[in-house]
Amino acid sequence: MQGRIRAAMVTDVGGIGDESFNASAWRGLQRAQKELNAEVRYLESRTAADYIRNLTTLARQGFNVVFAVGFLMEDALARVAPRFPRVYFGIVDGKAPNLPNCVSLIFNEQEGSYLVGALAGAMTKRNAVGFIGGMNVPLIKKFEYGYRAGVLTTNPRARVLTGYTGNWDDVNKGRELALTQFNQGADIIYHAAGRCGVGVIRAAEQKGKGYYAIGVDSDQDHLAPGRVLTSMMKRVDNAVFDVCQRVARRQFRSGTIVYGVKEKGVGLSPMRFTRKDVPANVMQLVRMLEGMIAQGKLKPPYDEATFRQFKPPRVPTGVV
Amino acid sequence: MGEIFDAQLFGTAIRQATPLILAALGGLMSERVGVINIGLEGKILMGAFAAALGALLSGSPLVGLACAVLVGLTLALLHAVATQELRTDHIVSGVAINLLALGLSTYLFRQIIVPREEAGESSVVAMFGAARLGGLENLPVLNALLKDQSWLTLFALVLPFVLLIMLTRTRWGLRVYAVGNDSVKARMMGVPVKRLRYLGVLWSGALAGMAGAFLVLAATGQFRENMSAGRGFIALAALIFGRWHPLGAAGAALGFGFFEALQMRLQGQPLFGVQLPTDLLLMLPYLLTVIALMGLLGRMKPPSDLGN
Repeated sequence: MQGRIRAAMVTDVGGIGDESFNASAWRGLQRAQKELNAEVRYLESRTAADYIRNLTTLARQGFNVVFAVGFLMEDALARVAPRFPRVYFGIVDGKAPNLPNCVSLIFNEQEGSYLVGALAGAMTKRNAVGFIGGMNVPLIKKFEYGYRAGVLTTNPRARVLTGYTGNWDDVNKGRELALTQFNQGADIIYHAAGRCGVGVIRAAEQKGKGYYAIGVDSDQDHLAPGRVLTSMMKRVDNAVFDVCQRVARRQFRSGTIVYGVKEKGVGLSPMRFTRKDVPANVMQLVRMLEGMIAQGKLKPPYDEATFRQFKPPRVPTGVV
Repeated sequence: MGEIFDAQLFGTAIRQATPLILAALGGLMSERVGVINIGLEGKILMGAFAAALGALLSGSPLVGLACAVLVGLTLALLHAVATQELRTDHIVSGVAINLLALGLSTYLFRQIIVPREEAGESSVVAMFGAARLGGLENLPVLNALLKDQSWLTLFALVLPFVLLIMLTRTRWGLRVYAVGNDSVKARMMGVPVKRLRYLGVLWSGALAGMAGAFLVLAATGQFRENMSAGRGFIALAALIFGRWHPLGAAGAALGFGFFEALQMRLQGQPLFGVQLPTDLLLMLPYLLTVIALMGLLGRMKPPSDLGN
């Protein structure tokens, strides 16, 4: 591998414009293009039947590293990777086959979700907050239960309304579900619903002052300045870039890499438009919880069972 | 129960139903003249994109609506030419239109609107406000139902009755019936079959385009990839369950919208003290619409000349 590396990715059915992890992975490759002078490319999958074909196409075209974006591609990768031992493969959010040329990139979404939940619990004026997910699958449950635990920590009396849209595309359904939750008493709604989330943010904007949405995956604060309290950023871009860099330096490592709060793989957005709305002591509290997670003293739950066992840390009185 | 059935629930129900009614009636006008139309989904999607682009560039929702209708008409014309002149299979042409619309709207969105967003400009467009009802605002129930709805919704609620009268009380309506049920005999009787078929298909384009425009100009204010999210197919189901009847199709669409609003509500609050599982609730609108219509409507009979 002399000089520039060639890096490519296969999106899952959401495509590059999913405003979620596919988009973020592509930003990572674009950064590799800029900073490592990599040659980059993506292929979009329209259906699950495209996964194997797309991965095979890119591997045949001699890319040095190929990313499969999304847990849905686990099986496809397990079939393709053994046939191309000289190509490195990375899978986002999924388990990689146990091969020396494969790495799995896992995120602790529950940690970042816990922090936005803590912020929402402290900020709600009506003691009710909402969560809107896309599909009802284990990956999204990590967001939901992390968030619930965060709310429980800073505001044990607050209700958490949860809803799912059942897809990732229907912007207006996301918006109507958010309007429904606002009507049911929530004043802050966190979404993990792909493009449906754009509708959640629009609902907060249409309701106006006193209502907030919380974005996900990338920094969505600018989509409705002042009405997006913060965004739970999941840095798929950094993870993808890291792997590209390792390939370029010939330091590829197989196995599993976990990105949590400690690795700055998940966390709050810079809150460019809303910092002035959040009291300093609330922000301090969130930073304190962030520190506890980074040090391993606090492990937010990621499903119903761990949520039931979760003991929220004591929060200094007078903060919320 | 009073906490469940309030004005917000019915507002959501009617908003969810509006694009379905428009698209289902569009499909009806096409299928009544014998042309199968599974390209509604694509026309809604391209209509939504055209509405967003038109309104974004002009600053006027009316221009957006006009663009959506025009684009819908163009795709419909494509379907009419393919099925009437080139004798393409109706289903194949419809699928092709759906694929074309998904690819084209995604491509154009990324080429035209995404760069603006990345440059920090808003892609939220000027929208239609709530329609004023005049004297009707004094009627308690009607006002609660239609408060804050756009005039596109009011249009969608009146249209089924207009179409019913047109289809059953006019010369044109009888000719449509003849073409849909036996085009050969209709032709022998001197009915301009091809012209009526073009017209029926064009109706579907205009109305499905309008359904797309509703999503952007009266709901979200923004275009997003694949935002039609299967509405064209649900509209088609509403049309079939409504037995190709304007009131039946609109009723099925309203029923679906209502159960959709209800399940959204029930995801966040227990019913008689029981929190129903999410997956069951997500299925509810589809399930209940099917059951309700099976009971209400009995046997279904499409126009006998459909697809020829």
